[in-house]
Amino acid sequence: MRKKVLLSLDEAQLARIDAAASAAGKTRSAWIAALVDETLEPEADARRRRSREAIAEIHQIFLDADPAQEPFDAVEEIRRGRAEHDAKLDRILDEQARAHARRERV
Amino acid sequence: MKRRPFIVDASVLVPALMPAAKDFDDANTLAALDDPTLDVIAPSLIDLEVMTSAARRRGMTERELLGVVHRLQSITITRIDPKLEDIARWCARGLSAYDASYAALAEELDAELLSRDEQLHELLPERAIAEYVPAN
Repeated sequence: MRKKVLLSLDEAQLARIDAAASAAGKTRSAWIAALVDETLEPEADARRRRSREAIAEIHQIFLDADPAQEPFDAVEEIRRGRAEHDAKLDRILDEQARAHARRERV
Repeated sequence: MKRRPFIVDASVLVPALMPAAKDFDDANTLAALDDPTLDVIAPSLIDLEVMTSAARRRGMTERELLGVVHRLQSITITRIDPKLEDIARWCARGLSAYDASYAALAEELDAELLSRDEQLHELLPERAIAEYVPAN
C-alpha cells in the first residue's frame, strides 16, 4: 500500500537527491524509499529478534503456570468468550429495559 | 519489496502463543511474524482476545498475565483499528462485530487475512488464507 506524502526539503537537498536517484537509475520516490529501508533495517532486525524472544517467553509462562497443559480448542474458546460477553451485554440491556418500563408504569 | 500486508486474527495468534492449544503451531505464525517483507497487522481487539484466552488457562495469576501482556507488545504485529463504518458494513453481512473488525481492516488495507475461522473464509474467499506461505 503506497501513500503520497508531503516532505519539506530545501532546494539543494532536493537537487542532491535527484542527482543520486538519477545516477542509481531510480525515481526520486524509489530512491528515498530504498534509503529508508536501508537506514531502518537494523532496527527492524532488532524488533524481529525481540518478537521471537517475547513469544518464547510467553510459551514458558504458560508451561510454568500449568506443566500439565490441559488441551483446549482455541477457535471454539474464542467464539464462546465472545458469546458470553454478548450474553452479558444482552442481560444488562434487558435489565435496563425492564427498569425503564417499571419507571414508566409509576 | 514489501508483500501485501497480512491481518492476523485471534484464531491464529492464540494457538501460536499457548502451547496447550489443540492446534498449537507457532512455526507458521512465527515465520510470518519474522518475514521482513511482510507487515503483520491486527486490530487492538486481538489483545483483548488473547487476554481472555490466557486468563482461562490453569495457573495463570495476575503476575503471569502481566508477563504475557508486557511481552505481547513486543510481538511484530502493528495494531490498527478499522473505521466503525466499515465494521458496521460487515456486521450487516452477518458477521459479529469481532469478526467484522478483522474483515473491515483487511478490506481497508487491501490485505490478506490469516485466520482459522471458517466463517471468515466463507465471507472473504478472496482474502482469507489458512496459513502463511513464504514468498519464493
